[in-house]
Formats: sequence, C-alpha cells, structure tokens
Amino acid sequence: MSDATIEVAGLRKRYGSTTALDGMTFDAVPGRVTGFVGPNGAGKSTTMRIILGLHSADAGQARIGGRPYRSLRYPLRSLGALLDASALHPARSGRNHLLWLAQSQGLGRRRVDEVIELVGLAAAGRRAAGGYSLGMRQRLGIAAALLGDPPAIMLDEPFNGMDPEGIVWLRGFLRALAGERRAVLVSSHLMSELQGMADHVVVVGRGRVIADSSVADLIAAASGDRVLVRTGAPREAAAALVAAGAEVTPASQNRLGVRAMAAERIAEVLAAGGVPFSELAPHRATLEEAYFDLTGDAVEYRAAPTEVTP
Amino acid sequence: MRSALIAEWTKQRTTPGAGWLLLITVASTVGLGAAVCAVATDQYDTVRLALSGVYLGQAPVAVLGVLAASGEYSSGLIRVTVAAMPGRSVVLAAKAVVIAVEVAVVASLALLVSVLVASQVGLSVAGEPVLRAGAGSAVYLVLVALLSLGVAVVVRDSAAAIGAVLGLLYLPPILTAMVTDPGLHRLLERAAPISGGLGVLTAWSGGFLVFGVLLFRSRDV
Amino acid sequence: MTWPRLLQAEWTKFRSVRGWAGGIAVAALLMLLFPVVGLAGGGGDKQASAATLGPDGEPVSDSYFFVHRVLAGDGQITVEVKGLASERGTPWAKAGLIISAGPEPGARYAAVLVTAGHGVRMQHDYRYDRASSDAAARWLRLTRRADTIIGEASADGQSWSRIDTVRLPGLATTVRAGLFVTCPDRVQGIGTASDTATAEFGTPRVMGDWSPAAWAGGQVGAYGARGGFTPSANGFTVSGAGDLAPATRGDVPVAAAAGDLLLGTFLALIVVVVVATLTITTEYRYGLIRGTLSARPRRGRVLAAKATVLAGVTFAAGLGATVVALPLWLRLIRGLGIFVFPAPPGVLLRAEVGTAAVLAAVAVFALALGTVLRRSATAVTAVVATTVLPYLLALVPFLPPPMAQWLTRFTPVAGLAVQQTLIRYPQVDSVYTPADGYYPLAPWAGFAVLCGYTALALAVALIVLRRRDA
Repeated sequence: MSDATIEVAGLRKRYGSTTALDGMTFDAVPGRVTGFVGPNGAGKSTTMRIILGLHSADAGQARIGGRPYRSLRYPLRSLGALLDASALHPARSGRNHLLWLAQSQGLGRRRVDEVIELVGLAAAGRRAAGGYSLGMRQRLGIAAALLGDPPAIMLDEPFNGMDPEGIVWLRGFLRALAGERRAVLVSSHLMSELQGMADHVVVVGRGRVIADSSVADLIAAASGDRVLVRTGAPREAAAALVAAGAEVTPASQNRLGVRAMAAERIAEVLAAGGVPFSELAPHRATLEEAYFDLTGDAVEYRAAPTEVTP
Repeated sequence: MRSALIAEWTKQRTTPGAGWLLLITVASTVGLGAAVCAVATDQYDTVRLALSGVYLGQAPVAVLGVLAASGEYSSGLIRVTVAAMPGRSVVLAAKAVVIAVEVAVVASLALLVSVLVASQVGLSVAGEPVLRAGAGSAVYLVLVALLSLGVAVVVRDSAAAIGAVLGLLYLPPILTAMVTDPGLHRLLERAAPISGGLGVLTAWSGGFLVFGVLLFRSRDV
Repeated sequence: MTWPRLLQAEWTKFRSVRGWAGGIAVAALLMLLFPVVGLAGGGGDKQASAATLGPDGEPVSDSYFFVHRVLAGDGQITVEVKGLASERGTPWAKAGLIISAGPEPGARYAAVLVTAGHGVRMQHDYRYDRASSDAAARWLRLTRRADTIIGEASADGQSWSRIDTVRLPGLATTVRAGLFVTCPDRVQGIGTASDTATAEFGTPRVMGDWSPAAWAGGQVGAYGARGGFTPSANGFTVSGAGDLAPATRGDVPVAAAAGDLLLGTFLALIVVVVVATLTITTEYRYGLIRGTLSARPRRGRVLAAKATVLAGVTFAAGLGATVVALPLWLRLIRGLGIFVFPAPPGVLLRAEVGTAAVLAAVAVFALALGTVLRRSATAVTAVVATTVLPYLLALVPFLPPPMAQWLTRFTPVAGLAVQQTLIRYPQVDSVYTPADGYYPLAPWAGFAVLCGYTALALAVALIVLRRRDA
C-alpha cells in the first residue's frame, strides 16, 4: 500500500436516528483524481470528517498510507484537506492563517510564501480573511491543504463559489497534482464538475458506495449500445423494432432509444417495414447521465416531480 | 507540544481581539482601582482597595478565555485546528498555556500600576502584604481565564459560556446575602470562586478544564 | 412590510429557537424558585418575637432612659433642657418630655424633644415626626387632654408656640410621663458605633393630678445599662442610649424584607441577557442579518420590532414569575415564623411589576449592545458588567460607602430600586445600603436611570445599524 492511499473501509455512523454512513468503503490511490460524488446528504462530508479524525466512526476505519489520521504527528504532511473554506477568523489575514497552520506542522514562513504564491493569493495575503470572496477563500483553503506538501489531498466541494476562470484553474491544478503521483480525492454533488478531470469516480448515496469505477467504464456502462432514432411514426417504428428483437424505450416525442441492435440493422428493419425515419444516432452518455442512472434510487432529498397538465 | 504552542501563540497574536481585551483588562483594572482609591480614606484595608479593580478586570479576562475556544466553534475553525493537530488534549493545553502566560503578564502590569496609582493618591501601600496580595490577584485572574476556557470548551457557545462564567463569579456573593443560615452561608462563601480563595478557584478551573478535555476528546467537532 | 407583520416575523423568529424561549422560561423559573435557597437553613432564629412591633405593626426601636411619675387624667408638664451632648456627637441624640401609654415594648407615646443636630421636634408612635419652626427653643411642654396630646416649644419659657397636636387612641386614664433621654448609634462609614447622650434638665413643672411619689428613673427597652439619672441642685442630669423610632433593617437583622424574595432577579438577569444578546448576534454570525435587513430595508423598524418582541416576552415571563413568587413566598416564610417588614399591597405590586420591567429593559439594553458590538461574548460581558457587577461592588464590605451609593445611583443597577419595599425614614440615621434593601433613588427614578441607559444604547445601535454595511 502506497504512502498516499486514502483507504476507507466499512465506515458506519449514526447521528441520533439518522444513518449517515452505512458501510462506506473505497480507496483513493495515488496518481489519479478520484471524484467523490453523490447527492446532498449522501455522506460525503461525514466520510471526510471521519478520515480527518474530526468525527469518530461507529464502525470501520479510515487510513492514510496505512495509518489512522489521529496517529500522525504532523498530519498535514500526509494529507492536506479543505472541508469548509469559511472556517476562518475574519480578522486574521490569510497569510497569518497559513502561518499558524505551518507552525503547527513544524514548518516555516518560507513554505507559507510558496503556497500562497502557488494559489495566486500573494496580493491579498496580508488582508483580513473576512473580506475575501468565496473564491478567494477556496484558494486560501487549497493553499492550506498544500502546506505540508502532502502525498494525498482531499477537497470537499472545492468548486463552490468559484468563477469560471477559477474552475478552469482548479481543474488543471488538481490534474497536475495527480500527475505528481499524489492521491487526489474531490467531492462534488455535480458530476459535470468532474467531467474531464476525474480519472475515477466513487458514486455514493444514502451512506454507501453505489459505483466505484473508472470514468471510462462508467460512461460505457451507462450508454450501453443505445441508438437514438428520430421518426415521425414512433409507434410503428417501435412495433417493427421490437418484433425484430430490439429493446425500445421512448426518449422524447419523436425519438426512440433502441438497445440490443446495431444502427445498420435498425435502418434495415425500418426500411423493410416502410416506417419513415430521419436520423439514427449512436448515443454516448455524459458522466452526468451515468450518474443519474445510478443515483436515481439513492437520492434522499429530491424535489417532487413537476406535474405537467396537457 | 512545542509546535502546538507556537501555533496557538500565533493565533492569539494575529487577531486584534485578544490585544484589545488585554488592553481593556489593564484599563478597567487600573481605572476601577483608581476610582475606589480616590473616594476612600486611609481607614480601610488599603491593599484591598488598591487591588479592587480586579472585580472589573476579570470580565475582559473571562471574555479572552471564552473566545479562545468558543470563537473557533462559531466560525468552524475548530475543525481546521483539530485536523492540523489531532492530539486534542495537546491543543487545549497549548491554548491554556498561551492564555495563562498572556494574562499573567498583563495582570501583573495592571496590578503594579494600580498599586502605584494608590500610593500616588496617598494611600499607604507598601511592603510585603501588597506583594503577596498583588501576586495572589494576578494568579486569580489567570485562573479566571482558565476557568473561562474550560467552560467555553464544555458549552461551545460564546454567549452561554460567558454568561455561565460571569454568573459563577458575580452571583454567589449577591445570593449568599439572602442565605441567613450561618452554616450554609459559610459553605456558599467557601465554595464560591470569588470568595473562597485561590484554592477553591483552582478547583473550579481545573475541574472545568478536565471536564472540557474529556468532552473535547470524545465529541465530534 | 407593515408593522404588525414585522412584529409577527420577529416573534416567529424568537419562539422558533427552542433555546431562547426555554431560556426565558428558565429565567422566570429561577426567579420563582430562588427563595428556596434562603430557606434551606430553616427559619433559624428569624422569629417574629425578635422584633419589637409598634402600634402600626411595623418593627420599632423602643429604648430610652425614662424619669417619670404617674399622671391620672388630664395634665401638663413643662421643662427646660439646659444642655444636650453625646460622646460621639450623634445628630439624632434626643432629650425631652414624653407621655407613654404603657410599659410594654412598642407602646404608644407622644414626645417633644430637643435633638443634638436636628432642632426641636414633636414625635409620636415611632413613625411620626414634626419639626418646630424654632430650632433654638429650649423650653418644652406637653399637655394631655383625654387622648389628645399637645406639644409646644418656647425660647424663654414665656411665649409658647405649638409644634403639633396628636391623638393616641385608647390612651388609658393613668399614664406615666416625664423626662427621657436616648441616643441612637452613630453611623460611621459602613458601620455604627454606640453612643450615649447626657442632658441637663431644669426642674419639671407639672399641672394636674400627678402621683405624689418622687421622680423615678429606669431604662425602657433593652439597651444595656448605659443610662442613669442624678438629681442636681435645680433639676436632673439624665443620660441614656437607644432610640424611639421606626427600626431599620440594620436594627432588626433577623427580619426579612419582601424585596429579598426577588433576589433571584440576578440569576434571571444573566439568562435574559444571554438570550437577548443571542437574538441579534446570531443574525450577524450566520449572515442572517443580510436577509433580515434587505428584506426590510428600514433598519430602525427591524430593531424596534426585535426590541418590542423581546421586551414583551421578558416582561410577561418576569411578571408571571413575580406575581406568583412574592405572595407565595411571603405566606410561606411568615408561616415559618420569620418576621417580614410590612409593606402595603401597592408597594408589593410595584416591586412585582417593576422587577418584570427591569428584566425587559435590561433585555433591550442587551439587544442594543449586541447590535453595536456584534460579538456575543463581548456584548454579554458589557451588559453583565454594568447591570450586575455594580450591585456586587455595592455589597463588597471593604469598599467605601459613597462608592456604593454612587454605583446604585448612576449605573443601570439603579433600576433595582423598584424592589425596595422598606421605608427610609428621614428621622433615622442608619446604614441604608442596597444590601439591606434600601436604594438611594426613589423606585421609578431608579428605573428611569436604567431606561436612560437603554435608550442611549438603542440610539447608538440605530446609528450604527444605519451607517454600517450589514
């Protein structure tokens, strides 16, 4: 097991009568960005708090490079974390916030200057942190996570409140960290934020892991070999295709999703039946669609479906 | 422990609040002492008069002790602190040491000035009794700060914590006035932090700190 | 938003936080139950018999040196007071003529007297006192007609002016009358020192049916053996100590005052201050204030609505506690045989309503300071240090008494004057301290001082709120 791996094994946690974690298990390994995704209330933050030793688990354990977090002498040198960017004293400057953190890890001022430069806060470093925008606070929090030059990094919803420029910067930044053989664990409630950045995703719902796979596999599994058919006569088309052995689901008013049949074969079947069609498109799912496929049952707080009266 | 101490000291040093509170401690201690000395005549216990500013000076000291803990709870900073320093008793010990040293220095200064003011007004304060009472008062203020820290760790809310501390310090003398049963009266007087002597206050502060450590170690933050 | 809506919104905010509503309830409960602590030791020696009661049922001091003969029916006595001095110079040292209704403690009387520092006066039945217009008079005369007594004074023994005419209902036909000397303790700082007065009288001249026996002297009431009398060439030298006056708290330490039963106010005060401060500082802490203020841009009205809700809730809770607590505990402790200084129902009601009003005013004071200071700990401390600490300092025995007077006159704690149920008599020098239940200001004047501070804090809060970015 590498020094950098974040291991989560069988975590359980109850708060009163609510079960927050119900056997949460996954690893975040070095060299890749692991997305930690799930709807609000799925247990992401709780898992991260247990990893950091802030909350205690009722069962199971979390380890950093094989050791429990609370046994680390200078933990920020093993795992840098950002949980809540607003957890600051409003009157203390960003630099001084980093300074006391550095001192707690036996590090000096030089390291503070380095990380503050790295996240692009050098200009604002001496101002009181209470006046920072949410995006600046996120950058300060990331600087704090990097202080100990840790082999593992964990960020809870780091994209919240960032402007588009900041989001682009952070994606590149996290990819670069993974490129340096660090383990990077990033939580988000929006799968789209992770697209193009995460190598691996852990999808969670109701306190347990629903899917734990590479992004490529997840997308492939979700899209299957579905083909979208646009037709003016969906009913006839469906009848013809089902008769030929395909699985058909209506996608929208004039479109059908067809599984278990290649595009060429569909064209033949429809042509043979004399059913008009205007388009045949093999469908590639987005990460987000794959996510909704998975979490459909696991969402705890969901808006009631909007009723549309015709 | 050493790095925790340095970190906690930097924390205290880099917010203006703590500095202001210490300044207010000096000002209120000296101010009340001077006011009392000004209206007093020599027939009273001059040493106690000179040091009477402690009654007021303990209020900002209590705020300092409370904010050192509850301030972190209200902003969520406590999670950052505990994530950086997972040894929770060490964190609390570091906080206690930093506050104790700060208050000891500032209180000594304030009481020294109070005595100087008293002698300027013409009260005869000199010699060993003043030294002993002054040192006792400084220790008293340090213990009040530690008591406040302990209460704040237990309660985790600034307003409730400071209410509890000030209640503990200010109410017993007022309420014992109501109790006429001599045995009970004496008991209350002895058990109250303000009138019971330094030993009693040490017990209160120590008790709350130990209770605070136990809770802090077992609670989720 | 209209004012009723605004109030409704703030009320909903208040009652929906369980800790706040609970806090106020706890405050009321503390006030209601606190006297239990006082009773924990049982009645002890607080027995009703410990106090001498006057004709109106109030405790009195009834001790003096009496040089007397027996008078049957109507009659008159005249005497010259040639000199009066006491060892420590107590201003209320008294020498003069007295008609006493009987030998039992607390009996009715009427007297004309010379004092060391307060001129010539006629006093009767302990509580009543009238000064003569001629403070330098040295001749005194008492005339009895049935149950009416007339007191007169004269500078030369020739031309007399009447000081007062008083009735002693139920006065027996045969009474003891004669000369008396008494002298209360001298008030020094926060304590008293015992004093003895000595007066030179001329020979008394009597008219009416006086017993033929010679003048006899004796101490009335328990006040040691410091008095005595010696006939001189043309009169008497009489010395005595004690007082003929209403008793103060200091004289009857074992008695309780109704106001004592409200001491739990201080406990309640701290809880109320914490809750009141939190109602505004939590809005700052969680950024809620932005929502509150942007929802209703007229910030003054928001503060007013908060203050109204807070004051209303604390007043109601406080009043609920006091109107139950005071009568209940009075009954209870009287049942245990503890003597309580009498107070008319109006005074008790004022103490009950006033205490609730003090709680409400302090709650608004805390709200205002919370708005200005924005941090809970600082605001709570500021309020407690101005509303509770001054009272504590006034209790501290080694602080100079002018300090205690000043503190209870000029700081917000002056508002507690509404709890005074004891009467402060101008003709009695005593250590009138807040600890004993005497405040330097009149009840509602003291409350006005508190309201002044509250209004000032509210004004500052309003200015700050308008200028500051939320």
